[in-house]
Amino acid sequence: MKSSNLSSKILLELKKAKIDDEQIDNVFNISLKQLKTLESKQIPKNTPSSVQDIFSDFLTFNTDD
Amino acid sequence: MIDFKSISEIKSLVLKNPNSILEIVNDVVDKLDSIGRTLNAVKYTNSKFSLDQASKLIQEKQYDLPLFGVPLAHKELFQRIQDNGIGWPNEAGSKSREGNKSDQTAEVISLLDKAGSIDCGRLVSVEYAFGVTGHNEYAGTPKNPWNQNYVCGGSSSGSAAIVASGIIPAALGSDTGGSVRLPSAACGLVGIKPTQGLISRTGVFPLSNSLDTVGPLTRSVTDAAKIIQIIAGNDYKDLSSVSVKIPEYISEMEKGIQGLKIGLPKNYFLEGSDKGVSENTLNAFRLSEKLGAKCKEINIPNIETANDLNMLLISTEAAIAHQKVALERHHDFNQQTLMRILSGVFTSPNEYEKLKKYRIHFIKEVIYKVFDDLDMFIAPVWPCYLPSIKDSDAGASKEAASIVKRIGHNTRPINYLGLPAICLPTGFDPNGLPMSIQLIGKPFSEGLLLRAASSLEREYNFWDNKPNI
Repeated sequence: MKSSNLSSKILLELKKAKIDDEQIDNVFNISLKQLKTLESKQIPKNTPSSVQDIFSDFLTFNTDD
Repeated sequence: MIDFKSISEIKSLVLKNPNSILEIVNDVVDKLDSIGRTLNAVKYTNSKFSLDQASKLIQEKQYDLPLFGVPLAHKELFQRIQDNGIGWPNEAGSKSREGNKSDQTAEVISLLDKAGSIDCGRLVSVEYAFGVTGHNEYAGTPKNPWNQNYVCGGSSSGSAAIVASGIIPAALGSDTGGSVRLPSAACGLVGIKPTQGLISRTGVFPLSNSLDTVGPLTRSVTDAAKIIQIIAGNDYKDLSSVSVKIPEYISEMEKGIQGLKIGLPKNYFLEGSDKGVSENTLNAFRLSEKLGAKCKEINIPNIETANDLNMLLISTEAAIAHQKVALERHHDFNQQTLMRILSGVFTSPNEYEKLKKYRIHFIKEVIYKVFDDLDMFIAPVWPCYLPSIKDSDAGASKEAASIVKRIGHNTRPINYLGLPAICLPTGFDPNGLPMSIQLIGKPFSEGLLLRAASSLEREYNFWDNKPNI
């Protein structure tokens, strides 16, 4: 199991809580896979700051249309 | 007394004799305590509270209230504190919260009270609302009224079982990755997952701050429209809440499906679903065209990773909210819930920020491309025929993660996009369990979704089917 410093710290916490080793491996691997998906994503600089902002802009765009 | 009756039918009945509300409420609470508990679907009833609420309503004679005398019950995540300070159970389906009481009344529950409904209790949720099959070791796994060997789907499983049993016409649920739509589809109900920000989550037990939404499960499109008409609206206490003009959903609905532009995604949804499920969706698409909708095939860009990223966002935010109790009381958790909460603790603060920011970018990219010349698109809800309780009980096995991922294949991407969706029953699978489709619209287009769903509902006429309990 490879991990960053943060993950090592959390893994230690999980072990201290006496959570089953197999369970810890399982959750760590799920997380790792999903975080890899995230890592590959690019975000343009002009991305709005919230979902509400996009929805408001979209409603205006649709009304103007 | 009110078995399988619609909101309008119940209202007509009680207006003829307002005092009959007391008898109706007694009957509903009795059925929740008998049929409901046999189905493992009921968490809590309080007949004294419900009868007091009914008596007050009769005395006040506000006959024009939209839900005058209509009995309801809701998923156990919705808090209530009585005027005398006594809080209803607030255990979120988990032994880790055993004995926990509500310290407030959820905003949507207050709105339903003001509309004249009678609150008859709380219905079983999957632990922390974190599950798609409906299994719950602590509270009991709700049984599907159409065949009690089958799941109700999760996480609003108790709400679905009780409405499908015809005991009440509507119940509220919450939907973070499909938790209104999956149970609605499993039990032959209409379910609405609203646009993010349309309906308040104040006083509702949280799973994921970015993704949680509240919606109704009903037997008809009209009843779903009536409930969201009451609970939609801005709430300053909920930071995700958006101030938009709420349309008259019932009059919107009556305009019909003609002229609406409906898409069928060529990629992802049908590809990831079993053949019978895809055919059912394709049939609904063809029926929409026959009824006058303008239909075309579409592509949804980069949708393939939305399920994974939605799961990561839920786990990360669930860990932020609940990791302390998960670590301290891990023996009191179902192994699968524990596994899913703890998988979120590995997301660093920077990754969490990126996760939220990428979602915003993704939503922008998709909604402008997909809805440029389209009102809504159609997709399956479950990717497979409904599994039995036994076959889908994966616990914390290594297969659990892939089962959970697969079941939410068609629903989680919609939460990730923050878009509204309505689930509509269409018929039965070869095992005699309900099948459904979902219509997904642009932000705040619940009115258009209700229009299309109402026209399709008339054709499918699922309403006439009743489970033999």
